[in-house]
Amino acid sequence: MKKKVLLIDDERAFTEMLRLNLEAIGLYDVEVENNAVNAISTALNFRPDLILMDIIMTNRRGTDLAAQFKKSLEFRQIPIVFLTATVSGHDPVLGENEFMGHPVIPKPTDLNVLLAVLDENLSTTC
Amino acid sequence: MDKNSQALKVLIVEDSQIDRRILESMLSESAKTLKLLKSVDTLAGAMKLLGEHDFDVVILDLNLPDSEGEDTLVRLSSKYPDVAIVINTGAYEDEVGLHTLGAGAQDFLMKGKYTAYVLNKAIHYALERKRLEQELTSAYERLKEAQGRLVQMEKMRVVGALASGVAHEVKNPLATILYGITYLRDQAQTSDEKVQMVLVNIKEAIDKANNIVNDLLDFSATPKVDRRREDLNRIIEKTLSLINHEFEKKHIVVLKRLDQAVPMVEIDKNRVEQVLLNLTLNAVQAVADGGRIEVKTHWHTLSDDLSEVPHLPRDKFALGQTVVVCDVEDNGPGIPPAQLKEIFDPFFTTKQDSGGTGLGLSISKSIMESHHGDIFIENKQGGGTRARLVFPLASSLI
Repeated sequence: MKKKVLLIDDERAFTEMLRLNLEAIGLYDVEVENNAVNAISTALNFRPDLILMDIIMTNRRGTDLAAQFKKSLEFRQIPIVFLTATVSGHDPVLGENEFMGHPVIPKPTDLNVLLAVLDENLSTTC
Repeated sequence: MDKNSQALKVLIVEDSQIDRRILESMLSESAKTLKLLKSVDTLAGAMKLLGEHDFDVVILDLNLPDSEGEDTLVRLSSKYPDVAIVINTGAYEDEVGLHTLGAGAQDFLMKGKYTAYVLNKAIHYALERKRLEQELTSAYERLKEAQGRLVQMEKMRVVGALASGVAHEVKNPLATILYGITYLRDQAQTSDEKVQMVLVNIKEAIDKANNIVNDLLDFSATPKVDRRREDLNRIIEKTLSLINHEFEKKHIVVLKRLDQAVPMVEIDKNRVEQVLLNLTLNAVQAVADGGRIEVKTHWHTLSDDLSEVPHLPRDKFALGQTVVVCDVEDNGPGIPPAQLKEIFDPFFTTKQDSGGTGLGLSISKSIMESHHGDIFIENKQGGGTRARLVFPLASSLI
């Protein structure tokens, strides 16, 4: 069965490109939400196996959203992976590519690396 | 030290024998405050004596067999700027005397118009003025340095403020382009070499732009240093092995002179590795094919004048402190003196063509500062460049 990945990011062009790539692989069902405010309701409808989420978004911080997901009964077990354009990949503040206990993927990152992180986090829970 | 209360060393430069005798006898009246008194009748002779003895004051006649007028004063004071000068002018040369005060003299006397008392007073006034002048000069120098540091900090602050905004606006489109071409590459499945080449070039361009923005981010990040006790020599060995291929590519001879007795230092291994990598890659770029790079470690306990390691700022290092030093030296062409001042400026680069961002050394400097250490870059005597890292020992970090 395909894994369901919810992509929350306000960069429309970016989400389109990533969705195309993930769908082309044939292993993932991808839902995109460009408006962070709607993220919870989209997640409730879609029931993702993993959430891939930007940190700096216009309406809401990804970090706040992640905290909210982790507090809810429905999503507390769902792995969250951050995607962000504001780190270099060896950012000392974020430590070893982890933030609030969630993996961080800097933008841009090669698709293969992103897929490896997705698979690793999908396998731990499902 | 207060020169007014100690015995003085006085040099009389006077070609008229009579005037010289008058001066000598007047000065000997206050003999108890004289430590050394010499007389000479030419400027050349005066210069020679000033090189041999540490005179406090020169009583100078402007018109000598080998030099005339104000020129005499200028030549003497520019070569020996630390000595106080009292001009001894001919009678009725008030104008000349006054003028000399603006040209480096501390006082003037008119021949035949002074007593031993006045001479003595003039000498002491001159000494005091010279002392104040030197204090003022040094205060001005310190002020200029402080201003330079402020300007530098302001530059860093501006860059820091810009960095994360720029990163967000640039890295997002880069990510979009990257996944765009990834998709095209996978879908097109073309064996057309030209199409492949286009995709490779786009990918390289993305990487290059991304590296530059990453440098900018690293530069602006307040480095949260994670300090542990580390063996600097081992970190150096590891760094050198990381870029061994760069040495081999240019047939560079790498000499390691690591003092195995250097004490452990409390440092952030990753950050210091980043600095070492930076310095070593700079050296690789500097040397010609077959060039030489020497990496040394040594350590010192600083004495009062900090002379063991030149250029150490007094506000950071002190007597009795132990420092561990790492030098990365190359036998390249060195750095033009005009550029030496700017090399730590953010965005100063001589490597635009090879993708340098001009942030490597700025980042290195801020990393060393976060370790309470320092970094210096200088041209070696006999050619080549020396980059020096100085780490204070943990016990003195408080």
